[in-house]
Amino acid sequence: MSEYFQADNILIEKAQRGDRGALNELIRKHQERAYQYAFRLTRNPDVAADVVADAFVRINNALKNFKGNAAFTTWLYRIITNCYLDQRKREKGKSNVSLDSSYQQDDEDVTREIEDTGRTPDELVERNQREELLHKALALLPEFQKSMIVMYHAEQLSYEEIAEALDLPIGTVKSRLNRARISLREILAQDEELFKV
Amino acid sequence: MSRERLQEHFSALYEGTLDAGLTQQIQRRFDSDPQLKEDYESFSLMMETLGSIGEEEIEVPSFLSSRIADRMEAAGNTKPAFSLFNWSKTLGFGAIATVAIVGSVLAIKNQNSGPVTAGVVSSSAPAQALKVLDTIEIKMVGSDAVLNYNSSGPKTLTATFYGTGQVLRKADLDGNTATYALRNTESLAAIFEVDVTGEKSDHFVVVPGSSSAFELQGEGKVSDFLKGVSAKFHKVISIQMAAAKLESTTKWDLKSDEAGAALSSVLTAKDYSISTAPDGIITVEAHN
Repeated sequence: MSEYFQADNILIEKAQRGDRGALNELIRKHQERAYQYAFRLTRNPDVAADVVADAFVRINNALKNFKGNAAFTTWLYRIITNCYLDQRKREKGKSNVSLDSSYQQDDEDVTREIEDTGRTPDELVERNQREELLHKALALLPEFQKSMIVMYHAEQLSYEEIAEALDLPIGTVKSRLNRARISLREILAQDEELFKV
Repeated sequence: MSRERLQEHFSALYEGTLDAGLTQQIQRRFDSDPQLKEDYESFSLMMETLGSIGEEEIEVPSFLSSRIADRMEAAGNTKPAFSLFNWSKTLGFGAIATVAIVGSVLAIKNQNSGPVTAGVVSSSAPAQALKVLDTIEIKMVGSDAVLNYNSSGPKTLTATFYGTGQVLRKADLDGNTATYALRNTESLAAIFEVDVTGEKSDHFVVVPGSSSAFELQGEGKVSDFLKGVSAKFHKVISIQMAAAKLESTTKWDLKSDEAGAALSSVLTAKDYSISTAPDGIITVEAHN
């Protein structure tokens, strides 16, 4: 879908001068992307919307101090990640939920439209099963590792962008991401059948 | 090197960024350590599957905008008035900040005092100079039908999916502008109903889908006929008529190759005004 928005830096400058319309436009421009990232982390529409709402409140509060050294989207990812981590902390403080409780699954969610990818129905079913297992396994990862995996593989941020968003050296991002992937593979190894070549 | 140490290089090996020496070392180790090789193969399969998680379609809930607005307000900020696009998985309603367009203007009979401009905007009129208040404008921007509304004061703009009554968008405005693209990615033509509080509620927009199928002879509701013409000629039709008229039945036997003429053959001049704007949008206005 095509959108017609002003550039982030212009909107931010206007918003910093108190232009409410510019702030509204900035939110409107980024809320969909923000939600998609939050949903991938939480797998829960309600919690994801909360995380996004919290993130925009923080952005509004901190906007005056935003210097524009990094892209707005990078900053947004950082703030959403922090809001997600805070939300998980609060959730853990409330009850003894296990990490995988954030993975909500019902039959409707799992149902996917079969696309014409040139794969046989069996291959598609197997691939869908692998993706489903992957989401379950992701929910078992520590939140920080999950954030990195989602940023890189789902949001398709580069190592540099993740490093900027999480304020880490690139080497650290690479090694932590590798560790996250190894952990994920180990979780998935419990279902070797689908993750064996 | 231990198996665990070698595993630390799996990502770089998979991405092809590992230096040649280490790559060779691991490849040699694969020959003598089938378990490590198997681990890498399942790692590669997982990486391939990870690549597809970004393809997942995530539908943005309609309550997101209001959740953000409420949270901003609770945090002591003025409640923002912004809208959420992507209200439906298949029908798009995109927010647009600035548009430079000319085209047909569908006027609302404004019941409040204040400056109102209505009618057809000249194609030579500079877009920046236009400030049409309290008037719903439908224009083409590229391939999109765009709805533009400048409110003169507190107004609520509501867009509904005609047929199901599903509210697609509700925006509280107060002297500001709402601009949306009306998009239909389904095969069948769809009708949007647009209402503004305090205004006469009889505005509809028909947006064609991907299919042009339409029976040239038939009988049905006026809304079905309008959707059919929209589909056959792939035209956006801006309508100003009471919902009851849309629900009334009519017959058609289309022979024309042109949308406006096809409409005129059924919706006669006695009861309707039909005009085509330079951007191709057809306006149908019922006489009261």
